[in-house]
Amino acid sequence: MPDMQPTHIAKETPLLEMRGLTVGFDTPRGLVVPVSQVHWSLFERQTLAVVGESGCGKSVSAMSILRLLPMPPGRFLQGSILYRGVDLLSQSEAQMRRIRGGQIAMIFQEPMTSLNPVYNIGEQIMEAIMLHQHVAAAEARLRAAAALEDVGISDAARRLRDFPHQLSGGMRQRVMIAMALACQPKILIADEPTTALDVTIQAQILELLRKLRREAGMAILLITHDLGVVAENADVVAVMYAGRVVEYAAVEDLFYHGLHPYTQGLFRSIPRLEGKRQRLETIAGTVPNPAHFPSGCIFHPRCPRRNGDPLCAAEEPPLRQVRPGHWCACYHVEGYAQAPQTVPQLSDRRVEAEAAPEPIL
Amino acid sequence: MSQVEPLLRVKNLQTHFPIRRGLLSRVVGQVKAVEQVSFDIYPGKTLGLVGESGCGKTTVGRTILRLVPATGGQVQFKGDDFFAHRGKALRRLRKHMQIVFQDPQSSLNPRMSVGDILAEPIVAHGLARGPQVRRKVAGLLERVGLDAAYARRYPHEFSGGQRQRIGIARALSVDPELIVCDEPVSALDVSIQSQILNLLSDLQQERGIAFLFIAHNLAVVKHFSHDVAVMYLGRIVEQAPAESLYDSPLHPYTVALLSAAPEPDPRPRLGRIVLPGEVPSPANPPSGCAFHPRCPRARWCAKSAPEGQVATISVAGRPVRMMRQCVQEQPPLEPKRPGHLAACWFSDIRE
Repeated sequence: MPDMQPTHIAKETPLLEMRGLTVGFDTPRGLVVPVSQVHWSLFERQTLAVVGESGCGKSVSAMSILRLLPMPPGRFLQGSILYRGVDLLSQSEAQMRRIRGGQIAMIFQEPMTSLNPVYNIGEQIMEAIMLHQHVAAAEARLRAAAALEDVGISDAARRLRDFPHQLSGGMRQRVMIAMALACQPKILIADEPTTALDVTIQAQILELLRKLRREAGMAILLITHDLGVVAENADVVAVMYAGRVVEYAAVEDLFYHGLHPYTQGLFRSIPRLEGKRQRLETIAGTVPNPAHFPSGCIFHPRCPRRNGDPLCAAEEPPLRQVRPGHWCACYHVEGYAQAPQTVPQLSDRRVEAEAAPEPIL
Repeated sequence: MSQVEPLLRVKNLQTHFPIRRGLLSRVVGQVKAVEQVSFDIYPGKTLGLVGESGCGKTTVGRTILRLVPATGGQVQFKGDDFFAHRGKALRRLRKHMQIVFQDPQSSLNPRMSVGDILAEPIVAHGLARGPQVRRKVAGLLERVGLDAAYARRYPHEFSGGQRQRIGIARALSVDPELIVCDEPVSALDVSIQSQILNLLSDLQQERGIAFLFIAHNLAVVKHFSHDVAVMYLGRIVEQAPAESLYDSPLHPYTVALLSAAPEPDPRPRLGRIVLPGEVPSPANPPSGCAFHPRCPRARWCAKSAPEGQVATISVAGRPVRMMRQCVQEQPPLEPKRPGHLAACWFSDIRE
């Protein structure tokens, strides 16, 4: 958006910026736009969590970064994705191949479907190293073994000969992470990295991601639906609903002073371990289908705050900076009418206050 | 509560699956999916059964309903031995025990309309006939929060949350006294999950239905259960009233599960326990206490124990010192406090 000015809050330049990304898909029933006007920024050594329910567009927007969406039927309709100031959407396929894996790596929810079953894991990790770092096979093998050790796989040299089916789910996810790290990318996109894993294995993988950030200084884009995972890992959070970012803030601001009615509803409806057992609050209705998004504010049919306001049904509220460091897209947030429509940028990073945890085997 | 007779009493339930190999598919071993599982469920109450994948919680639910044959133990429904019945008598009892599955997509027949799906059990059990069936189906749909006109639609026309409501309506259709819910909300989004949990708890209050609630998410279980049992590798390792289990867990596995569950609170948490290793295969469980290779407590206790009580074992190729008793002897599940059972030799030790 041309009228947007960067705010005073961020003094650094972001590593990756999503600026008004709008993605459409041509379907037999016409154009469907599952992702619309998505804005956020990711800084060096920062973890940005993009959180939302299924179908909110979080994965489509993440796949757009590496241009992994099938085109056609997909189309970029508007916006840009800037990596160190360069628009990834205008890069050639050859340029993108250098960025994928080399600069920005991605891990997915289901490691079994992302690994090739007919090659051993050593060959799969070495392929990326040889491609991006132009080294010989022997050197690549050493680096692959080192990458496996970094992600906590013991006896790495022997493990390189294992095939994906010989590994457990947690091990496969470690291999995916090792593969992503082998070329020392600047950014790791983790799309629901622990959703398919058990709680105790999830704890191991999340601990590993925190360690990588501490030691390798990587920026992480964490795509998840799990607010617990967000709370414990993110510095900054973008909440998505029906293809839009409806709120963007530092993690404490969002968790303790969430402003958007969707964010608030989401928090009230999660069952918690702490506190007394009581009736859960719910958000009425269901997430709309992208083929039939409502007019105006995308959340208005389910919104408890709207109170019949005709404006909510008529015109979509853009993301505005309603407080210092806090962006929200809702007419019924105090100060929204006067708030400036600025680029959402927050370079906050939380202080790692954690004591050294148990070693991960 | 002890005055009331339990609705369902499970005693020493055992489910083994044979491992077959070779041309003659000879049995070469047993997967001990469920071992010595015992619990009671009281009318109108919920027992939560928690554990990670492969711990046998789903098999427990299916064995109780005889969807999987038990290899040992007893299940009594209102004092009546459920495993002893056959034919008509079995069918009559089945009416009282229903199940809701995790994946509402694969548990609804895509070629039947929702009306037919809901009418089938009503007709099969002879609960209504003719136009009464339609009326009953309409009532069920409305009770679970769906429009009665949806009876003409097919499962693919619904969202995941709506399909789970249909699955619940089907379980309700025969007025059961017990419903086994096998991960009923884990495939659903957060905002839909709470709607389904509230529906289940309303139904319990209205109709006095008892639930066996199987799930991996400790927070969800807490919300819905009066008693909770934690399973690890086929056995119950801890069992207690919900408050007691969540406030003061005794088994180190429960402690680790509670500590590993990410809470939606960004304040840094102290004392997080990250368990090493993974759940071992139930075909070849570790000796003694099955949890010992991952147990932080067995290691911690070994630090200050006399040398004679300590054993050195190999975990992921590294030597680890731990209590000999944990490696050699299976701890019994026994009361450590009134109503609070745990299977740990060192349940009174706090790290």
